[in-house]
Amino acid sequence: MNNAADTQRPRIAWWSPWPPSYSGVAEYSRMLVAHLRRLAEVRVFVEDALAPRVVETFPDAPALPASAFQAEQQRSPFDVAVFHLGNQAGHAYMADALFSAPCRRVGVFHDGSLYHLYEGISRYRLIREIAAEEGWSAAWRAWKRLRQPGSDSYHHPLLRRAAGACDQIIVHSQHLAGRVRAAAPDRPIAVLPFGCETWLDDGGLLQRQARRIIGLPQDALIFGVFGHITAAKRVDQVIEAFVQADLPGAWLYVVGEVTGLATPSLRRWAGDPVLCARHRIRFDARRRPAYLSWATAMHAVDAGVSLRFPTTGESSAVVSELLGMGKPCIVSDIGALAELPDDCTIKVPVDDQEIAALQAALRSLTTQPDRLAEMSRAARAYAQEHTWEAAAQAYLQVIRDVSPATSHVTNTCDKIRDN
Amino acid sequence: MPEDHPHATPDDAMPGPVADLRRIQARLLAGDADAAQDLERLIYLSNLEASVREVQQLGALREHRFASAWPALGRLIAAFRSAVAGVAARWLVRAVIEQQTAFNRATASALDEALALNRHLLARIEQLEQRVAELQREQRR
Repeated sequence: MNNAADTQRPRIAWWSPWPPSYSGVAEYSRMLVAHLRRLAEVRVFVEDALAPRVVETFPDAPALPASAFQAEQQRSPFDVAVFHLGNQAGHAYMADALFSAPCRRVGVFHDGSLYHLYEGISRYRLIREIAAEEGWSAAWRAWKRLRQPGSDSYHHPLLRRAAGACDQIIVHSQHLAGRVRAAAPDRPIAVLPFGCETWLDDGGLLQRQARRIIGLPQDALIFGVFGHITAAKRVDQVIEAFVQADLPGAWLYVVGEVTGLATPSLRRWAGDPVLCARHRIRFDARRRPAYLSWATAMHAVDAGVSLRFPTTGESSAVVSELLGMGKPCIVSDIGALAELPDDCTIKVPVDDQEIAALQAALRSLTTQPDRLAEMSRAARAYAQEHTWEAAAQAYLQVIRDVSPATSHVTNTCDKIRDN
Repeated sequence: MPEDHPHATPDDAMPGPVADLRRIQARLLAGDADAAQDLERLIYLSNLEASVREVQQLGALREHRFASAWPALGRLIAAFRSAVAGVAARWLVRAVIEQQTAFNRATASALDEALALNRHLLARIEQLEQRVAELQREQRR
């Protein structure tokens, strides 16, 4: 373990998906480590099979296969292991280390359910976890639902054992803090907001080039929907509201893979470019685009739409990126999204007023350029208050507090906690 | 109206693609006429790189591993299915997997070569464009 002389630079085992893994957490981690590596000694641990293909890493924060953790720990013990836990199979490889790592453990809960993490190990492990947390009768019902379409993750959060294994928990919203606290009331929880990358206000120069390259109209007001498309992202509702609102001069640009969890009607839209063109809708469903294309597509739009229901309490990496570019967002008034400031987001309910509220939001941004500009300025201001550098500093403080070699220096967890 | 951003992350702290895009933006702001073309080039090249990585990642086929979600008997059921498949199909499937994996590797390798050639040609085009610009400047004098 590092001694007191190294208190300013703790040694951290960073367990997280990493590019080329295509997920919001992978991008989040990359941006955070870009700053954290200046303040700490970081080793990134990725799934063994992905380790040879990891790209865009940092020489002073190398990405290592998960199986190298024990050897690395023996060579020079870690002060803290940080586990980025999400509701996806891509996080499955870190489950056993979370329960056994011989150092202090910090769990970063990106979602309010770990159902698909356990399913990613095996269905047997998933059922065993449900049995351990909720009893065998719940496990039996879950097993019967496994063969049905859709995700059952909203019914089985499976947070208790994972949260109980952590010495410190980090979440990005008060909403998720409440969910995790209900599962593990005795664990300390720090709420650290998502980081944002801030971009220059170039007066639309990059936007014009992005539109030229993608082939989007220069004079239109474009709303963007980004990310893996599932039923919970409610793109159906966005399209319905956009079509009904009938806003001449406005386009809807939907970027992301249409997954098997998307609704049949959405798959019909995605597969019918003629119908889409008639309603000024464009799907860009290329699988796994490079980050540069992804960011360029985001620069091309004027505002984002990021809806969720149901939600497990996850934050949206897409919304953070869009706000950093000065693009206001229309979001669902639920979970972590409801905590975003009102001056740069428009919140729509997830009840039977959703379509009407969406239409009103789309119409107001299309017909009120002053409001759009004002919200754009507010989005940039929000991003400047939530930089990656600030997020890295907050992480470091939490890590120092939990690390046995450094916890005597200060204990600011209580200050950060529940802010 | 363009404005400076006091909290923008310095380029050397950022991952490659973000820094690349930020440099392009700075060049656009400076009125560099070639910046737009370079952005297009970077996008095509990074998309090709991502596709090659995906082909390499997905190229090696693996035999299906049988599993069952039954709480108590799951492993026994999976072992039974695996044994049946071992008798009925394993040798045939393995032969097909080997052939397909060999084809995938060859395809991935060809794409990798194409990517290397593209990088080389783009670098050469950049050199030639610089040379043309120099010659035009000399001609004007």
